[in-house]
Amino acid sequence: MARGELLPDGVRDYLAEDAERHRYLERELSTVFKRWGYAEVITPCFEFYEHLQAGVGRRVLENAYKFCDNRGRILALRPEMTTPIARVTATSLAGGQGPWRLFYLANVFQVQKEGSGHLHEFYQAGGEILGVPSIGADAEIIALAVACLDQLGISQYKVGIGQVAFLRSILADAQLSQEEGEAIMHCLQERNLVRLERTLRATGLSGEEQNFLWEVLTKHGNGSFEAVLSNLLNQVGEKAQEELLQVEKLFRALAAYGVEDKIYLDLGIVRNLDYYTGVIFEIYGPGLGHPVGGGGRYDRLLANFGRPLPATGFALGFPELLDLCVSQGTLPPATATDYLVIPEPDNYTAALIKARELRREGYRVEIELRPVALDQSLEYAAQRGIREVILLTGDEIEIIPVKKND
Amino acid sequence: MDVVNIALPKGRLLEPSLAVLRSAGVPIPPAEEWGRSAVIDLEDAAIRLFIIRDDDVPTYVIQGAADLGVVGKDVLMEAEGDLFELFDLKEGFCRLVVAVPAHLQEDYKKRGSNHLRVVTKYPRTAAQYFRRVGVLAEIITVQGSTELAPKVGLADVVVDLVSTGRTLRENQLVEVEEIARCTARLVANPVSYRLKSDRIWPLVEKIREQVDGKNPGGEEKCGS
Repeated sequence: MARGELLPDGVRDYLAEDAERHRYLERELSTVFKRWGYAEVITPCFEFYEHLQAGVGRRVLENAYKFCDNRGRILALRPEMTTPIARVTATSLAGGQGPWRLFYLANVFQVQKEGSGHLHEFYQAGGEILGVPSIGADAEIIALAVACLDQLGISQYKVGIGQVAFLRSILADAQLSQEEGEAIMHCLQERNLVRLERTLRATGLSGEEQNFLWEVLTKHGNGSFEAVLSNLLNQVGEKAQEELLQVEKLFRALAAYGVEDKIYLDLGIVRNLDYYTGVIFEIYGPGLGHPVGGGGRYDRLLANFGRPLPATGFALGFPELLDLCVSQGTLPPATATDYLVIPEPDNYTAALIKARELRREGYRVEIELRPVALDQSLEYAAQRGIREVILLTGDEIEIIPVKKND
Repeated sequence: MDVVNIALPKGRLLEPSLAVLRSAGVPIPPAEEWGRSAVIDLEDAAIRLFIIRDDDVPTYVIQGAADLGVVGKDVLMEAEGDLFELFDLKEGFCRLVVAVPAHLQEDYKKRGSNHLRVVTKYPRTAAQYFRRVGVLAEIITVQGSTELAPKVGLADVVVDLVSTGRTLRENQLVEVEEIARCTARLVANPVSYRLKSDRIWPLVEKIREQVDGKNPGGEEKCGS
């Protein structure tokens, strides 16, 4: 195989510092999840394509990696984690008593557009609550996502909160045909406001009704949440009112979690996975072209696996989290070996005893294995970021600080 | 105040874009003052403009390097990725059409049942169109001078942008279908649209006031 083609499109190696950052995220995030009582789930990288199909929309499926097993059955690399979690809960956990709080740290696979700069294999962290229909679960999920960012020291971000059930209600109240309603949702998913305006104009709604829908669907988070809400409540039908009151409850709950300065109401949010049925949210960080993560309620997904259960959850992308950690300067400094111990020629014993001692105290220690001059050992140490070299000669122990090599 | 970065396309849409922004109160100095620079910093207005190739505008906006952009609908339909199409500036009207050599006008679709060769600068849009109308087509991508392709045997038909139709006539090509009507669009990065909404919305509203009712036409036909 030609050099330069050692890896397929969209995958990468994580060496030294990158691997360390990756594990740092895993460690910090799993700490948060466990503190909140979530249990980890590890699922296989690939599953039956048919099962993954149960959850996600066409676009995600089209971009999944598919292949056959030795019996000709179609498999796919998981393109996201919510569907596998739903499968596990509906099947393996079926005997137990809910609710379940589950989390994962996992790689997922989606073929990305060429030149988009996105990896095809990327890592996500996510949490799900299964078996709780009430808004308290949605509040916990959002507060937990915020806690994950906090744990990483990320402080600059906003959480936009929407409600797809409310959108569907007001479209139904407007007496739009199903096609018209779908066309409008489609414009929102495609983020095409030019076509949205034209679609609204073509509906035969009065100018006032068109205006109302336009304002709700496009004016994201303008004004305080209370003002927007009380204004809207007078203008919508009973079902939509209920959905809004749910949102009000959610905001109050999130204020109790102490995260009210991070959230805002954004009724135009529709995420591009088709399984959402209620409250949804996205997290935006400055300088990042796309959301860090997001999630929402998906009360119908588990029924696809034969066990109807309400559920809500979220996922955060590792690359996006790392970008924010870097731009907000919150990554811990890279670590390195503390000591390089240089043994006497032909007598390792003293060096090994010293190394064992230091390792027992928690230091990271390397032994010089090459029969080289001290200069070369110092050069190696500088290059690897090792702070001190310990030189053993007879009974003497000499500690030599290593000059930093830029 | 957050700086709003706006990507503007070189070429035929540049002047209309600058005019629309100026009319909406963006204090852009005359071209002589920024000369050859591709980046114009309007420090007092907290706005930065970059002038880049038109087909790069979606990329800058999708990646978040630009918060807003102006780009033709023809280019936008080719772009894959996540951005907001906010507003139709109704400038730079032209049409994306299928054109064939005059002698093929009658039966080009029949040839399509046996693989039509299509040459275009718009492969994605052309492929979508022929799929939708049920014509088998092989799409050949070129960067320019599309109108020459049938003459030299590179393709049977072309998909290209026309404004007056003169180029087609001069090359003995006849328009047979209209795929889309294209005008300049204001687009936004989805995250900027939310995090900088307090800057972006007032600007969009001012632009809307200036444009609305002034310049009808430019209805979108293609469902892309």
